[in-house]
Amino acid sequence: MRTIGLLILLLTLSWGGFAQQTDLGQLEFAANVKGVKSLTSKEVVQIFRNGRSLWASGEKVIIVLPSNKSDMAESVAKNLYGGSVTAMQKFWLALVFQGRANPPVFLQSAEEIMVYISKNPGAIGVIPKGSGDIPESIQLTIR
Amino acid sequence: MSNKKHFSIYVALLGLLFVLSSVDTQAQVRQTQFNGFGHLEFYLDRDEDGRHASFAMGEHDFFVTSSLSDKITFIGEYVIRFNGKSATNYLPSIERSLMKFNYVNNHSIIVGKVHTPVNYWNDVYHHGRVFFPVIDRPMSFSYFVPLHTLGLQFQGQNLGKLNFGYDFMVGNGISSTDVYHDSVVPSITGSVHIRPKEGMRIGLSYYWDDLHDNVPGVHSGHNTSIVIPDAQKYQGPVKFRLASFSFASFREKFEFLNETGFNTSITDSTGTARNFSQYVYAGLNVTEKSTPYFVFDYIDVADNDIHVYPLEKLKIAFGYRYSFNYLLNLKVQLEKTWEFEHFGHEHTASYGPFLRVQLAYGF
Repeated sequence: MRTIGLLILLLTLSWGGFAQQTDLGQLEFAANVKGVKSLTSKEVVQIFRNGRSLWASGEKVIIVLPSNKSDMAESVAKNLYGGSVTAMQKFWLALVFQGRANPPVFLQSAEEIMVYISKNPGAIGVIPKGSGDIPESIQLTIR
Repeated sequence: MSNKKHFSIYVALLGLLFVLSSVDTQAQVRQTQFNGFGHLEFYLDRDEDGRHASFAMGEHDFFVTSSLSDKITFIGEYVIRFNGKSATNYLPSIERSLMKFNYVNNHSIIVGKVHTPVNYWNDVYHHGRVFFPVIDRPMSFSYFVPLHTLGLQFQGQNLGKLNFGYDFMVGNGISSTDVYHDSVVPSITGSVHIRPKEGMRIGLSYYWDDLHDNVPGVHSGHNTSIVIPDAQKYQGPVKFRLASFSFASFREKFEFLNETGFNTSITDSTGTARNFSQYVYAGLNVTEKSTPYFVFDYIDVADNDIHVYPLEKLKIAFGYRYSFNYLLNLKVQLEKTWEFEHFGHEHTASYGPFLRVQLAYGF
């Protein structure tokens, strides 16, 4: 009986915990996807958390993120994943290792991220606000 | 269902996979990633021969994933581990090798060798010790859990508001090897889960396997409770069933994992043996890097079981994990084991406390 009580207590504690906060207003998004010029904030968060493997057009979802050595990584990790750069990297490595996600592309600068997205259909990326110019053709509006 | 019918279904499913994969022939983004994982251990224990303080080389794991096209991915996991019977003291093994065809958003067909998706641990951690929250797997992995299946799998994930997921699999069962299955009746795995919150997963599964002969092959890590000479082991058929429940919650402050297993092994000789296992892990993230934790691990194999043979065992452990970063962590664990029954002899013996230290890394 004591064991069951302890289990219920642990389950209750683990159900609560701290919600991971996001602040998409601090970020800018770009995507090279047929017919996708805007997404809701809920859709964006879901996509960047491996919630989607293919776009409606059939193209593979390619996540593009700042690498851990980039100045932009901390802001993206905090405002999109609600945690540290280490937590963001661990999140993706664990999913890739499980076989449940394709590895994201990690790039150093905003310019590299924009060039990569422009050249690769299906790519979606993020940078902190004001850290670079996003070409109009791949600008993604958050509703 | 007749063997002929099983075989026909099997062939039809393989044909379906071929047809679906041929639709996606144009490679667009080819991307290959290699990772390695390994661990080193130190342990301090005591047995009839006295105290031992040993350093130990753990498994070393080579992982590769490659996108062959927008919809087709290859995943491989290859492990080298110590084995005193090998001429070089090490043996390699293929732990996973699979092709995944993502035919529509979040739904895939997988063919190859996988870790059977019967519970959270086997589906998530594989051989990467750097991902393990503690030093080693639950005890049930040595007796009940069918670690691998080689076959055909249907997988879905992140469906709907609750992030529903499913895995349905047919393949070579417990008594088979990577090249041979001793009957046309495959093992069947059905597994479902939901992820109602980020970091949380609740799952249920059922595994069904009719072993033609009681010979654990490479697809299980099943041991007998004591070493029994092959000639004295039960050799006949076993109807092996396993129902599992997993609750995992890895959140910012608190980590919790519960793995429950109900297993029956049915033989003509001793009837239905009902077995049970219960594993609980709880960890508190004092900081992002620092996690003290607790482990409760219990297994009970019935007196009439002749697949594993009778056993009742409990392990309690207290530990501490320090994560230098996501690719390197150090775990220190103090553990004690009680054995209440062993091969039909009721007795209470305890072992430990033992000290174990593990340095786990990825690269």
